[in-house]
Amino acid sequence: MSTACEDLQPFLDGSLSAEDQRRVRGHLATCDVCARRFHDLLQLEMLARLALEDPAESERWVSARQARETVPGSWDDDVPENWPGDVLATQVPPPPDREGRAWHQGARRFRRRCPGCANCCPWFAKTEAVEAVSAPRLPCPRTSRSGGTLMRPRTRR
Amino acid sequence: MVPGREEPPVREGSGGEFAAFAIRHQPVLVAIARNVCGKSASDCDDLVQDVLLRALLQWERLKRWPEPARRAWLVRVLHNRFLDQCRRQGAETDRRVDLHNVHMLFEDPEDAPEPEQWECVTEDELRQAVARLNEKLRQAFELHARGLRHAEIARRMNTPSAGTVGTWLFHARRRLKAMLHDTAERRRQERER
Repeated sequence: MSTACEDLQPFLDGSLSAEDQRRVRGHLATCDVCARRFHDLLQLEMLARLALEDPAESERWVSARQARETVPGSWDDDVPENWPGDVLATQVPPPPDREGRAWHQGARRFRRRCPGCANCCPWFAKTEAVEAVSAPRLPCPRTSRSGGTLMRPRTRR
Repeated sequence: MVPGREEPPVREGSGGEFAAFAIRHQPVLVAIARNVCGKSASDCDDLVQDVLLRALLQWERLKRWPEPARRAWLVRVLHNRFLDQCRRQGAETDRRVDLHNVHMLFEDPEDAPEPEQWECVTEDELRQAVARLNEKLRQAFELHARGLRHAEIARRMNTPSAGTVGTWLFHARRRLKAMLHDTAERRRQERER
C-alpha cells in the first residue's frame, strides 16, 4: 500500500501540497483499487455539493482564497465578512508575532494604505506623489535594517 | 448566482433542457476539478469542458434518465477523463481528443457494468442522512460541501487543527456512505419487485 492511498480524501479536498498532488495523480493512473475508491469519493462529493452547496457563497470563498494565494505572506487566513468589499468592517491589528512583511502584504490586499517604509511598501509610492525625508533610525520589520528612507505624501508648496 | 447578474435565458426544447442541466452542474464540476487538477487552470477547464461535451453528445439518451442516474453518469465520465489526464501526464503521450480523433468522443461508452449505488440515491436522501450525523460531523461536512478548506472549517468551528477537521470529514463520509448504502439497497429491491 502506497502512502498515496491514504491521501485520496485530502487530495479530493484540495488540501495537499502541489508535490503531493502530483504524487497522488501518478498513483491514481496506475492503481485500480485506489481509482475505484476515488470514484466512490467523487460520487459522494458531487452529490453532497449539489445537495448542500450554495454556489454564490462557494464562489465568494474561492475568489477570496485566490486573492490570498496570489499575495505571498498574508498573515490573515480568514475571509472577511464583507468580501469582496473595499474595506474591512473592523480593522483588526495583526498579532505581535505576525507583524512584519506579512502585515504589509495583508494591508495591500485589503487596499489599506500601508504605514511602512519604502523598503517594505513599494506600492505606497506608486499611487501618489511622495518625497523622501530623513527618517529616525527605527528597525524595519522586513529587512531587519535600521533607518533608511521613509516615503511620505508630498506637501504642497 | 452573483447578485445583480441575471441568469442566462434557458430555451425551450431539448437544447434548453441540456442548458439547464449544464448550468446546474457546471459550478460543482469546476469546484471539484479545481481541487483535483491543482493549480493548472487549463487542465481544469479541459476536464470540465470534456465532461459537458460528452454529456451534450449523449443527451438524447441521458434526457430520458432519472436525475440520480444522470448525475452518477456525469461523475463516471469525470472520473474516467480525470484518470486519462493523469495517465497522459505520466506517460507524456497525447490522447487528447482533437479534430483528428473526434470519433473517440462517441466510441467509449461511460456506462457502468451494473447499476451503481449512487444511481439510486437522491439529493433529499443525502440531506436526510446528513441531518442524522452528530453535531460536529454534520457541521464540518456541511461547511466542506459549501466549498471551505480544512483550515477554514477549523477556524469557523474554533478547532485548533485542520487535521481534526480531516478526521471528522473522514468519519462523516464513512457514516454517510453506510447510511446511503442501506437506502440504495432498499430502493433497488423495490425496483426489482
